[in-house]
Amino acid sequence: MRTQNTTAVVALIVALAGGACNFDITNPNSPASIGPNATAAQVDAAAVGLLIALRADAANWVLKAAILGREGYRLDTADPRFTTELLAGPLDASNNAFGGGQWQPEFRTIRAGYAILNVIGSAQISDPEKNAVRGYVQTIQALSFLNVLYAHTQDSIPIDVNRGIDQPLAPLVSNDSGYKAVVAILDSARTNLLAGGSSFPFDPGPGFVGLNTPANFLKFNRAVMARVRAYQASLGALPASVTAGYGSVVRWPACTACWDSVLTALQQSFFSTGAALDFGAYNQFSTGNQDLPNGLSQDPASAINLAHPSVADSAQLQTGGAARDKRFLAKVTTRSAFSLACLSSDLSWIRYPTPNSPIPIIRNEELILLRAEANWFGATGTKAQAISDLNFIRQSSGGLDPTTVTTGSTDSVFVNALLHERFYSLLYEGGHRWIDMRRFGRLSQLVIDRPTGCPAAGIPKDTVFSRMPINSFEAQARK
Amino acid sequence: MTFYQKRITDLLLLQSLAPSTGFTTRIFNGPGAQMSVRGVEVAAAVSPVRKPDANWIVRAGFSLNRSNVDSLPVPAFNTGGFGTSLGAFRIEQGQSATQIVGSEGHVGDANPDFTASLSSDLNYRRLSLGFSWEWKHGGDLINLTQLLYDAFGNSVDQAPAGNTRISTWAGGCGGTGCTKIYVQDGSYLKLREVTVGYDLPPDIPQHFGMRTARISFSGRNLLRFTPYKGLDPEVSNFGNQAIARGIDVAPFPPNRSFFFSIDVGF
Repeated sequence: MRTQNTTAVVALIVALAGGACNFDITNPNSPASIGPNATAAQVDAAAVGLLIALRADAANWVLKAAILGREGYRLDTADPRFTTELLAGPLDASNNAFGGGQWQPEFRTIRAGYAILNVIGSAQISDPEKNAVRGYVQTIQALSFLNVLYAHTQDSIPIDVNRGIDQPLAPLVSNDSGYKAVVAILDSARTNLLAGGSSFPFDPGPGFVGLNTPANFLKFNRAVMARVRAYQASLGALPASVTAGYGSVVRWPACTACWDSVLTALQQSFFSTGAALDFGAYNQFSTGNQDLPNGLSQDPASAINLAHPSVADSAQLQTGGAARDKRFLAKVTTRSAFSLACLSSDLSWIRYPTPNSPIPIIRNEELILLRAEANWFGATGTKAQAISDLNFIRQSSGGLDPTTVTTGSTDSVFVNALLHERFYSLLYEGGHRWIDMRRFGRLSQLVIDRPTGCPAAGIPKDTVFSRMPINSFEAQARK
Repeated sequence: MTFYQKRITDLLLLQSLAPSTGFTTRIFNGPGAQMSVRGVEVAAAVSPVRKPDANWIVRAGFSLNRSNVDSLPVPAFNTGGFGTSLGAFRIEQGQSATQIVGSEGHVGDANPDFTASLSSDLNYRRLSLGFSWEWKHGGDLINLTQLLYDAFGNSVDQAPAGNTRISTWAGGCGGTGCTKIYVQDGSYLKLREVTVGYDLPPDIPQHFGMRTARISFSGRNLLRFTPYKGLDPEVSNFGNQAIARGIDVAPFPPNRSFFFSIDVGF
């Protein structure tokens, strides 16, 4: 009897000790994360999860970049930072919602992408399906790197981030190298999508209607490439005459072929003058259970996200009438004037009318304007085609008369006309104004509303930022 | 009377990571990470009167507590607040665990210099009277309520004091911005509670079939003396956390309350 008891006690101790060594506990509140030998359902969940990570920062960026690029204001009586920090500075690098933003959510998306890429080889799906997933994931990662680059132009950013948290941090590379890395990722994605069979093993959802097979998703990939190439070109290959008189512009190494690369990429994209201008890829939102609503939707009568008065002032009139540009009318409506901290506007955004409204990632209208830009400057393009593209947008999207730009106009005149169309076509859709004014060296043209500050609110004079600071958590960890 | 010194080695750390790793925080057992906490607690009770029909007890308490992050094998990291421009808590080697940093650097500490309390209970025949005072000396709060009032021109002292404060916050301290202006001393002295009670003579409750009855009247938070400019120095929007305590963004303050009660025993 005694022996039996002793045996039982020893067995119990061994069992407890053995159990105590294992601290790996399954989280019962979330689905198992993707790992080696992933099932098709796990791949599906991880792939769709990537879109959820991608959209997390979309509304923040549209609003913040709209303020930085003077598309609008947020006159928020509950948070002074929209009218102090974002307009007068200094940008607070420690806050993800303000100056330190466009960093953490983007790198989380990129990390989530690598979590898939690192194990997709052993997943229980066919080889073409694996390639399709790789191409899709890389394209989304490229978009996230781009979001970082939009906000941090002229800064160095980490690119080689596929490493464990105990390894040394990824080295910072120059902004120019960052864009080159994005080009490489998009091209690698292209190779994978071409070998990706006829369908994805998951559904990318209503944001990718018409782009949800590997072959069609590749057209989206090339559309993003066209934008990347245009951004590279405008900072590297822009004639000095375009930026002359607009202050100093930090130039990149020349990319003489980049404009032509835009045209090549557009031919392989979903670009079409016959398709709807809204056709493209979107970040999807909804008020459904556990889903994320579009935070930019608002009641126009009581809205605090307001368009800048200059949006109305510089809108042209439609052909033969007194009504303003159709693009203006579609995105802005009037409300009673609202003033705060020496700023005032009576223009409410109606670009996102409901919490279910999607935010564009890239759409056909932008592609047509990219073709106009590349046709003007590219060796393989013609200036006549550039003007024709500008007029197509002016007439079909804005209801306006043709442009006064001719093939004999100077580069600078053309760029001003291009920027006008891009302003109204892409207004409040993703920081295009700020990015465009920066890449064409025209930040000094942005309106400074409070050149002497706002003494009543203790705000020093406004300034135009060319970039956001590196997130302070990143900077601290690198010290 | 208690003196204590506690040294915590191999701390479990909730560390903020470089966001480029794709992760924001990790919990890990930091080898070599050490924090120490020292403090004094004194409690005394005297009973000046102890007679059959009168009893008076006075209690006093005093405590102080200091923490220090002795060594931290990872870079300093923020762990609460809305970013440094609005005051954030930072775990940093050689500093208190509850330090507050602003745009310009170290601006305060949420931990009080000391706290003290004094309470008294007096019973005389059927009457009882009790009160308690609480005193906190030092310990900073981040007064974002005042910042919001100042920023939008709604402060009582807007011109010129509020305007000066908000412009100092935005551009003072040599251009970095001056968070210190809104990190304010949360010292207070409060009359926490006063209670007056009366035990009814036994024949009254017995008349109604009860054994005992007592009526009492009490009030909480009756008096407050504080230099703090917000609604109340005891607020904390994020609850009673170990570190990120005392962030004041238009919270609902502690209320003053009065109670009238009848206790009966069967």
